[in-house]
Amino acid sequence: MAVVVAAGFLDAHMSAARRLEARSDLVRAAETVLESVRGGTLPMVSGDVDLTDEFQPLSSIRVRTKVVVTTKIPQGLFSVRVDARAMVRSEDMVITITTQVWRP
Amino acid sequence: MNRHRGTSLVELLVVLALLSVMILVGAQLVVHSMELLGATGRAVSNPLVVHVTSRLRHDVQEAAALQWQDSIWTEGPLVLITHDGTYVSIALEDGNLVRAQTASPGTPPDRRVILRGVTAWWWRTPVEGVVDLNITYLVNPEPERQSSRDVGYGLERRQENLRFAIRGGGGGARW
Repeated sequence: MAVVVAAGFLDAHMSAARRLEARSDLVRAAETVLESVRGGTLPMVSGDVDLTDEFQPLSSIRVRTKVVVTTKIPQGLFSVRVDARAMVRSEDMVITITTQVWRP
Repeated sequence: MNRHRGTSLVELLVVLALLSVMILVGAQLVVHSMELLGATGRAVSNPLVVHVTSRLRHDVQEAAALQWQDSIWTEGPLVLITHDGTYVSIALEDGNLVRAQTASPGTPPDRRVILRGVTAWWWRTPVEGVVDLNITYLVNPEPERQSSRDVGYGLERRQENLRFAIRGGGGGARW
């Protein structure tokens, strides 16, 4: 009984540790995409982004990133939302960052 | 007929011994898992590395320009020009990542080691105004091995890939 309970604790804590690592990676991936859009290495259009060359996660997850661009007023102002997503122990984890980019 | 009822002292002792062993093993698992969680939390939010990446992010994003740009990876110092004309240099020196800020020409730079145990430092500008940084440094091993009872352990290499867009010029296309 004690072993079963302790194993449950261990699994829960391992899961928490993996989620912490994955969250850190997802934040960095989202930041990389945002900086790429802001810097002009990625076009200002909505779509999926392949970060294979620019970003390597520290944990063993596969990160998928997506950019959603919407035009704002005044002309030249854009709202950019980046979703970084990964499966962590059969759970879909998503980090979203939204910012505005001025591209007159 | 002489029948035995209940449990004997030996049976009770055996059950107690088994329970003790199970509780002991279970307690060790709980302690190990707590150590693992703590070690992972510390590794993910390593305050020194978090501070260094934050410092680099601030320096590059707030810069007005680079002294020179290179589209291929280079190991040399990254020299940033701030909007007030000061120079900030980030370079690898004897395994240390050193940040030097020069307030004005002719004055000695304010030099500080921002990260120790750095084995590689690379940077490039894939397009004008965008800086890619690649830093490899030594860290304690993964928490699973760190919390083991093995005597001693070696350091491991960890790599940070960072990309920042310069926008310290103000009001330009990077905002």
